[in-house]
Amino acid sequence: MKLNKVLLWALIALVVVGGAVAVTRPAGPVLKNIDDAELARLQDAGARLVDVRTMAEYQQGHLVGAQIAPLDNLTAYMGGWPKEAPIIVYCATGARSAEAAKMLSSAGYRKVYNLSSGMAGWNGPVVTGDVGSGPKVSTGGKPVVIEFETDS
Amino acid sequence: MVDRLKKRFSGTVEFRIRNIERDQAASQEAAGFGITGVPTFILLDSSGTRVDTVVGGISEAQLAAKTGALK
Repeated sequence: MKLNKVLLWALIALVVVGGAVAVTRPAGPVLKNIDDAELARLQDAGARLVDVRTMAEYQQGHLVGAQIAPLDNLTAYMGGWPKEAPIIVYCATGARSAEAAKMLSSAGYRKVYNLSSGMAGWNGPVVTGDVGSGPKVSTGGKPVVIEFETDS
Repeated sequence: MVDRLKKRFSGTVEFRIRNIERDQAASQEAAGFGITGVPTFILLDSSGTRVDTVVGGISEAQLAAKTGALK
């Protein structure tokens, strides 16, 4: 009888401690395909929205609030992004963004979401035109390449 | 690298270098382009429209190819 009581208390203690550990252990990393509705919900909650297409594609039309970070240069852009904050990536059809999502996840980003249908399946608003082209630059009729740098 | 490309594209493409630490106007220009890291290359066509942005390291061959495509 005494042994049964001891075993019972041991079992209760195990359940309580186990539950506490489950509640306090940080959630594992997220790498998930999402749809339009989930994108809107995540964006409203403050997720970073990243367009991994080319600059030309971006300027032709992109999702509201999206920043450009072309896939072929993604590693240069992502250095400044906090790894705990949620990031949504998208492209034209979901293929390039799937690759971007894997890169981000491999680099330690813990909440990565891919708009699997891409712009092709997007039914929400799109910002078009030469948005975010930057300040007007006088070129004198020739193309210009500007390098921004620092001393370090 | 930029000096070599300047010579190579002399007369057809203008290269400008902006140091955002030493030049406040450059810093403001960079902010206007939404630049968050250096080095960053902004490529503009002859009308002043931005056609490409390259953030971080790029090889001379890659930058030359992008520059050669500008009109």
